[in-house]
Amino acid sequence: MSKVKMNIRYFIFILFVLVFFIGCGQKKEEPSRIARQEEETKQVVGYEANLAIIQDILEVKETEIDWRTIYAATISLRNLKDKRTETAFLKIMSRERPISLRKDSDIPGAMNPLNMLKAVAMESLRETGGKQYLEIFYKTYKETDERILREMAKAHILALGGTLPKLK
Amino acid sequence: MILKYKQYKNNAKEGYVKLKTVLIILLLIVIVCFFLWLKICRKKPVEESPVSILNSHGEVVGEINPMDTVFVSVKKLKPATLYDIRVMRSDNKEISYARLLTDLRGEIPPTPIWYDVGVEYMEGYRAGKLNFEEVINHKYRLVVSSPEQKFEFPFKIIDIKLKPRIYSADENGNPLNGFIRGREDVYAVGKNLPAGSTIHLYVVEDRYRWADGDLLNPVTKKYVTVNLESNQTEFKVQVWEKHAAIIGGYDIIADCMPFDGCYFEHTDPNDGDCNIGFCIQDEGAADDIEQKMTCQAPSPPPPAAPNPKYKDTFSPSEAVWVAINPIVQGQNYAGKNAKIYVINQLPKSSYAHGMTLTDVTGGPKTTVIQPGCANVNYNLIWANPVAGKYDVVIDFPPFGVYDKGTDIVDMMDPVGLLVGDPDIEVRRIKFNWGVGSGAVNLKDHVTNALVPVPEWDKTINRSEPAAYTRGTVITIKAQFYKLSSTAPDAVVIWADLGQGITLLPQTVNFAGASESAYVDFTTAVPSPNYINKNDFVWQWYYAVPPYPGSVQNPMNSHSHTICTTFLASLVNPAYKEPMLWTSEWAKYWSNEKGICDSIISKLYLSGLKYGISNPYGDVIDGVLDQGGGMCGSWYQMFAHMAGCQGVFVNQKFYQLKNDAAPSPEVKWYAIVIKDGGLNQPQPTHAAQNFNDVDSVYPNPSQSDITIRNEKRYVFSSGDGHCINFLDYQGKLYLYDPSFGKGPFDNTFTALPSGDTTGTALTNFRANYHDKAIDYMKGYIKLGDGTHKSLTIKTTLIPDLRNSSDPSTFEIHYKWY
Repeated sequence: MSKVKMNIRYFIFILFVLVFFIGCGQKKEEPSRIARQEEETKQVVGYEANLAIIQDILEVKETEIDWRTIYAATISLRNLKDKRTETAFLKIMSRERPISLRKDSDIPGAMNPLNMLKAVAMESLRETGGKQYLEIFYKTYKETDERILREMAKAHILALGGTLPKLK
Repeated sequence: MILKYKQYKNNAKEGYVKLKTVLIILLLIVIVCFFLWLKICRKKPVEESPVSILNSHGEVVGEINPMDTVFVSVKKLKPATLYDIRVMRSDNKEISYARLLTDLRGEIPPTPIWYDVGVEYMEGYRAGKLNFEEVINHKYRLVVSSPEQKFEFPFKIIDIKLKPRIYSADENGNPLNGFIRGREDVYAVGKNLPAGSTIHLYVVEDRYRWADGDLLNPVTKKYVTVNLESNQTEFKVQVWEKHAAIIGGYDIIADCMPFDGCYFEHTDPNDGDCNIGFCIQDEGAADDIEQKMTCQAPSPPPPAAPNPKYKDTFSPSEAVWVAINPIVQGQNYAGKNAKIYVINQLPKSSYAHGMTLTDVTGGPKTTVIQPGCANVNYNLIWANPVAGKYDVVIDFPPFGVYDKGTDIVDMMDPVGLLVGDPDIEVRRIKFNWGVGSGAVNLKDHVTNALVPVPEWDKTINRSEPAAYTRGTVITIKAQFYKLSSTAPDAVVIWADLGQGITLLPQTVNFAGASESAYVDFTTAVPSPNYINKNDFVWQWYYAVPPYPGSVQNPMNSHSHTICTTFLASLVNPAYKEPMLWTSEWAKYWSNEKGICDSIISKLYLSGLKYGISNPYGDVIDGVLDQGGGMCGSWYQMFAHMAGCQGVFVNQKFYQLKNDAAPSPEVKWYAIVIKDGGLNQPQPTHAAQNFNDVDSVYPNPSQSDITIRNEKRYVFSSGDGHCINFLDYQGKLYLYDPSFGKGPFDNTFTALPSGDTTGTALTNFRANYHDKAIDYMKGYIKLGDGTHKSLTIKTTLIPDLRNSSDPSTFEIHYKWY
C-alpha cells in the first residue's frame, strides 16, 4: 500500500515537473486580450463610458488606442440626438491630428482611423442635425484627400439638398 | 505506533532512494542528450571544395539533368591566373575543355563548361543528336589545373529520361541552337509529354530566367497548337518560318494544360532557361565580322544568359568581360571552342586574313561555345587591365590567326576597348529639363520631392531614372569636361545606348574652358516602342571635325535607366518606384488588361505588404515610406501603378451595412478574412475566438458551431473592402491588390454604385466575393430560437432568405 502511495507521489512529482516545463513553453493569455474577445454586443458599456472613451481620445494627446474599442464606442453613440454627443462628433470632424493605434490593435481597412471616425460622425450629424451641418460636409468634401470620405460627404450634401461646391 | 513510525521511516527512506534514482536517471538522460546533440548537430565543419558545379538555374549541384548546361565556379586559386578546366569522363575521354581566368580574388566566376549535356555534336555539323543512354552510363569529374595546382570534383548526370522536355531542332528533329534566317525553318521537338494532351508552343524573346506566372508573349504573334494522339508522347513541329524569323535570341516554352498563357516551372517545359534557347542569325560573309562584345560584369550569380551591357571604356580597376550572341553565322562555328584574344588596337586596314594574333593580357582564353550558334556566355578576359587602346577578337579554328568571315572583332574602327581615362568625358545629363522634354515628372518618396535634375551627375555619383511614353524621340541636355589639356576644343560628340538607339552627333565647343555648356542631343530613332525598364549603357564617342571622316574615340560610359510607358502617364508626379516596377513587370504588353494582369501578378515583387495601417496624407508616399497599407491604400496604389503606364482603373469601396435582417438578428457585424494578404504569411490582426459555422445555414444548431481561435482580419460594418475595376473592351475586370489577386471576370456588367443587395450581388459573390471573404460575422438566430454571435461561411449564405421576395436580402453593401 505504502509502495503504491510512494509511486503515486513520484508520479505526481514527475507530472508536476512535466506540467511545469510544458507551462513554461506556453504564452500567457493577456487579460486585456481575453476581455477584447468578448462579443461586440457586450462591449457597449453604456453611454457615459463610450462618450468618455471618445473624449479621452480627442483631448488627451499622444494616446495610443485600441481600434475596436474606439470604433465600437463611436458606433454606439451614432444617431443619438444629444448635445454632448454632437459636440464629440463635431470635435472628431475638426480634428486633423492623426490617431495613433496601439501596436497590437486591429486596423481599419478602408481608411485611416481618423477618417473612419469622421465617416461615422458625418452620418450621425446628418441624422441628428440635418442641414445645420451642411457647412461641415462642404468643408470635408472640398478639403479631404480621402476619396471615400469625399464621396460620403458628397452623398450627405446631395441627400440634404445641398449643391456640391467646386473642387480645387 | 513505533512499528508504524519505523515503517513510515523505512518507506520515506525507500522513497528518497527512489527519488534519488529517478533524478540520477534524468541527469544521465540529459547528459546523453547533450552529447548526442554535440555529435549530431554540431558536426565538424567539412572543408569546402574550391570547385563548384552549377546548373543553368545557378544552383550549386552534384548532379546535372540531361540537356542542361554545366557551369563551373572555382575559388581559392591564384588571382588573375589562367587555369585549364576539363570535364573528364570515367573512361578518361575529355568531354570539354576551357582555359579560364581568375579574378583578383582568385575565383573563376560561374562559366559554362558543357552545353547541352546528352547531345552529341559531330565535328563539322551544327546540329546534334540526342544520346542520353551514353551520357548517363558514365561518371564525370571536373579537373581544374595549372602548373602549380590541381583540383578534381566528381559529378553525375541524372537518369531522368522520362522527364518532359522540349528543344529547338532542325527539320530532321535534331537539336539545333542557331538557325540561318531565310534558309532554315525553326522546329520544336517535344518528348515525354502526356499522351492525348494539347500543348501551346510559344516562341518568346530570350529571357535569362523564367519565373512562375511570367506571361508568354510570342514573337511569332501566336502560339503553335500541338494536339497529341491518345498514344503519342512526342512531336516535331515547325514553330517559325525561315523568312519570317527575326535576328536575335529566343526561348521556346510549352504551355501545357490548363492553358494560362503563363510559364509555370512544374507544368511547362522550356528550352532556354538561363541560356538562349536558339538564335536566328544571318548567313556568314567572306568579309570581316564586327560585333560588340566587351561588357560589364554580369549580375551576381546565378550565371546570366548573354544579354550583356556592352561598353568600350573601362577603368584600370575594372575587370573586362566579354559575351556575344553572334548575329552572323560564321563559316566555321561548328566546333566546341573559341579563343579570346585582346590585341593592341589596329585600324581596319591592318586586319589581313591569316594575320597572327598576339594577346597582350598574358595569354588567350579558351572558351566553350554554344554548339551551332557560337554564343559565348560571360567570360572574364582581363582582371587587371592596363591603360591603352585594344581590340578583342573571338578566334575560331584555325586558332592563332585572323580568319576573315569567321573570327569576330570588337571593333576594328573605332577602338574596341579603351582602358583608362578618355580625353573628354560626359559629366551631367538632364532628362526632365522642362515642359518640352516629354519626360514624366518622377517623385522620390524618400526626399518627398521631384527627382533632381540633372538626373545623371558623375561628379556626385547621381543616377536617377527618367521615364517617357514608348516610341518617343528623346532630347536630353548633356555637359562635357576635358580631362586632357591636349583634347581638342571643338569636337563632334554622340552616344550609343545599345538596342539600336544612338544620340545624333552634335558639335560641342569648349570655347577654351574645361567644361562645356549643356548641349541638346536627340535620339536618332524613337525610344523602344514597348513598355520596358531599359537599362541602357551609354557609350559616348567624340571625333574631331569634320565628321564623319575622322577617327572615333571612346569617351566614358555609364548606365542609365529609362522607363518607357504604354501611354502618357495619368499620374503627375508618378512615384519613382511604381514607375520602375510597372515598366519591368508589364514589359512588352500593349493592352490595358495585359498590363493590369502583369502588375497584379507581380505586385508581391514590390516587397510592399498588406496588413499595415493606412497612412495619413499622401497615400502613395505613405505606403512607400511605411512599406504597405490596408485595402484603402492598396486600391490607390494599384490605380497609381496602372496610371504610371497610362492605364485608368476605377477605385471602388464596398461598405458593409448591418441592416440585412430584422432585429434582434444583425447581418452583418463584419466581414472576416483568413488570408494574410500581400506579402503577409498570416493576418496582422490579433487572434480571437470565432464561432464558425461551416455547413448549416440558416438556423444552425449549437452542434454546428466550431470555436476557433485564429488570427483573421475582421472589418466591421461601416468599414468594408476596397478593390479596382478595369473597364476593357466592354467588360469589367475586378482586381484585389490587397491580396494580389485578379483579374476576376463576370462580377458586374456596369460599375457598381449606391446600395446593392440580394440578386444584384449574385455574380459578384459567385465569381469573387465568396472566394475573398471567408466568413460573415453576425448576431444570428439558432435553430433552437436563441441568438448568438456567429461567423457563417460566406458560401452558405443565400442571396435572399425568400427567393421570391427581393426585400429578404441577406447581404447589403453600399458602393463608393
